[in-house]
Amino acid sequence: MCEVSEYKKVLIGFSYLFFIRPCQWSLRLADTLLCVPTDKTREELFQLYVTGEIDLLYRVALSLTRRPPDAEDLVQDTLIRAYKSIDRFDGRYPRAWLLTILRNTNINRGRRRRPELLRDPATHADPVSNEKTDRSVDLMLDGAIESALGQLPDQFRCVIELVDVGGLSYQEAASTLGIPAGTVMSRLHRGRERLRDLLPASLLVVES
Amino acid sequence: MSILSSILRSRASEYDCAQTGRLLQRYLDDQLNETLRKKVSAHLMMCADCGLEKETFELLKAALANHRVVLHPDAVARLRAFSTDIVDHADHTD
Repeated sequence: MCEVSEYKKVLIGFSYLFFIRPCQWSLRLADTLLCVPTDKTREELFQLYVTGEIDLLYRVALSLTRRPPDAEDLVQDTLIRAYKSIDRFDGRYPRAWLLTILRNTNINRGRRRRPELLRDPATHADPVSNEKTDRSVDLMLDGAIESALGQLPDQFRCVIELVDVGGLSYQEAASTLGIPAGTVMSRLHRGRERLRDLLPASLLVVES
Repeated sequence: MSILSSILRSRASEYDCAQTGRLLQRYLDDQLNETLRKKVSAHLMMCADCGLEKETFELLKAALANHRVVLHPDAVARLRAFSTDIVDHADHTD
């Protein structure tokens, strides 16, 4: 019994020396190589990773809040949080990092705002559609899509708005919503099928 | 030729429609590996029903992409100015 324990100790020692330590060194080296260059200032990092993504952040915030003023506030809060935490960001997947901050900020804002659920309907009614401009797509189909999206359960609507409308990847949408990419995919696919069923068949006729 | 075509079409529908249906959305999102993509593509060429289904979802995806809101330039400009302000005056973040 004692010999087995000794054998185990030796085995663990060898594993540590020849497997775990090299793995740790490799990870540390990878971190060093992939991490943000330390010579950059916080301001430079902010310009590098955040400033160019303001359009994306605002678009996603509009999908999440449905109100332009709320979306603008949300993006401002997100920018402040991103600035504060950018020196801890490792430089990998900047969009996913930013979208995660946006999601967490939105959750915190939702907690703060919950008591004021009664909103002025005049300011709440369909504000996003006011921002649309001329498009080549058939207006009837566009109107029908607007209506059908409104009838979808939030979990499907949100994913469709982020991926199909907003152009995010599965992984970016997953970061925004805090769910696995596989769940984004399954919700997206089921959502599209529901959307197709909600639209009048005559509007989805494929011209031959 | 038409008999051969109908046989091939019926075989394609009989054996692969369910599988194609399961993979169609991933095919449309370009998420399949090369082997599966070719397999689904071949079936879509042969099967009129699945081909129509694919074209319907392509139309839906295109309509959704066109549904993207045009961001209000004033709002974007305000956010850019805010971003610049953060960098210029770090005190605002405290």
